[in-house]
Amino acid sequence: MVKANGTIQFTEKPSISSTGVTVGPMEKDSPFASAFDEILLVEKEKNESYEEANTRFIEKACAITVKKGHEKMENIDVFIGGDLINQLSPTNFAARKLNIPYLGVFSACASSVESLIIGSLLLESGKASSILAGASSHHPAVERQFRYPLEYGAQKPKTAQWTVTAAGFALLQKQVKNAPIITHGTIGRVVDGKQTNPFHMGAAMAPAARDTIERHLTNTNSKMSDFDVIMTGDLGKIGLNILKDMFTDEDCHVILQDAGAQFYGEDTFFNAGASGAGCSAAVFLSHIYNQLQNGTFKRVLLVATGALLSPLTFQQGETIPCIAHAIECRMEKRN
Amino acid sequence: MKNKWIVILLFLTLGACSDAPERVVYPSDDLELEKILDKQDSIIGYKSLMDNNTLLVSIEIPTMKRFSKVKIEENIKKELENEYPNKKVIVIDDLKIKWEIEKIIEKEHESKELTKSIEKILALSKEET
Amino acid sequence: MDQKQFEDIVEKQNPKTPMFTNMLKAFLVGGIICTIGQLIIFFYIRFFSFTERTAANPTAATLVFIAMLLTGFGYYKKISQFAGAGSAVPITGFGNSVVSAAIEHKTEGYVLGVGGNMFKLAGSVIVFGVLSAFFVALIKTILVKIGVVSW
Repeated sequence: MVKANGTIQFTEKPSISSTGVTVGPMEKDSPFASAFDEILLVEKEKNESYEEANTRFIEKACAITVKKGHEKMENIDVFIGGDLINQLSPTNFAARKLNIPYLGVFSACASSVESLIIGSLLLESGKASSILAGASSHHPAVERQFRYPLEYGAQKPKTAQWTVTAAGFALLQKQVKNAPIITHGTIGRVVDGKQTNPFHMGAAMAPAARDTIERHLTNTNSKMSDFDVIMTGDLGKIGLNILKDMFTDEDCHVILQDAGAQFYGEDTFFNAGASGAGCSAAVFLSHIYNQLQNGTFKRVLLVATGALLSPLTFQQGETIPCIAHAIECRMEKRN
Repeated sequence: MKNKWIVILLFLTLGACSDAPERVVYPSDDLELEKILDKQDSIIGYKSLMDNNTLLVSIEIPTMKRFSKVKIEENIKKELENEYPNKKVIVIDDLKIKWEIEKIIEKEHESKELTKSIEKILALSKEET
Repeated sequence: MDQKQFEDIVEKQNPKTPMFTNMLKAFLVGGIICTIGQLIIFFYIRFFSFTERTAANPTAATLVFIAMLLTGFGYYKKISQFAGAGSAVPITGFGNSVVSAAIEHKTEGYVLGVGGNMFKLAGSVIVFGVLSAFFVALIKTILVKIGVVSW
């Protein structure tokens, strides 16, 4: 049932029956590190390109997810995934190996939630029963595509964010007991805050996050305090402050949180925090998922934000359009 | 405390030490040459070598006057050419030439060897790029 | 919320760039690199047959070589994060941009990858360096011909 302006209510209780998160070596000091399933200690193996490494991260996360969900890979109906590399090559190559019917999705760093929304819709339609959905990003591979070569000495401003090396995938199935269910999904609009600085994505993405959160709250007739946490994907420390300033609601200071701002703790090496499709996927599907499962959180809104920037359009003088997709997850009482 | 260290560091990094520029003529029996070079106020030091057919002078120009280095070199060269019409005069401001001249002066070459070493320096000074 | 309000918020939340400290850092690190360059010049003049005029070339090559080693071992980007323009403007910054691009594109092969992308960043330095050198030389030639300055 589609409500006005892109909020979808799922009535068939699509639930996240298991998750798998793999992260790279830089992420092992993250406050969330204990929630991650596997920490790989090198960005890439010998004789491997960074793109191949990204593929390997995805394959590993998928294998963990399926194993934890007590499923077999051949029983999965559809595999939905996205990453940040041109033509989604890493996910495509992972899909080649997984050999599952595959949908590639792209909305930059919002791909993680986009794939979860599409997965829930497929379950809702009754045409599929198990779906593997998620997203990934790989720091060196993304860096070389969007910015400068890895070893190039460019001074990063305080607003810059660090793309995480991580892949997070979830197994979606209908009506699983003791698993968080996805009750609503809000599809984002492309919002342009007329920002042009590629080293300040937080400011560019904040208006999109605000638009999606506001529409979700209106369409579901709820207010901020109804949620335990509203977590955005990768606005970073400065972007999160901008987003808080855009709300007049008093509750926003406690309830609004950002995965990117918390991902690396207070380490100033990473400037404003983390970014990337892997950032939202990793935190949502490890830390938040665990909190939902053990009952700490009852109702959360996960808003993955994505800057739809390409190095090409940026150099042609375009502004940075952004999008944010949201899903609402609830944990029902154990019975 | 921290500021004090910064100031000390700045003194250390920005300060410089230098020897007083030397004024040497070799062989040292030519007072005329010394007189001409001494009255040049655009240079602070010089070292010169002379044999039968060449006069080689390495001059030292103050840092801020280096922009008109070529001009100063030419002026002095002209003056010396008037004084020594039958000699090839080379006036140059270059650390390498200065050091080479110092080496030769130290060794106190005989006139034949002197010619040879002067030729070597000339070849050096002509090198382009 | 309109665009104006949003821009005010962004303006308010943006961290201030510490201009003075940045300049001081750039000055110090840039100065250190140039001092090292001067020492290398002295070294070449003293121990090889280079004059003040010719010693600049091997010095530039040596500095690029040092920058290459630092880039390869991953130290140069750390220096750059601290120094900013101080390490980007000297010739070591040029060396870093060439080497980092070469390392980056090794996976695409030596001809199309390394060869084709090596000057991806440094290319504009070369193009505009040559262009500006041409115009500066042109202006100086004209001034000399008119008689305002001499060579």
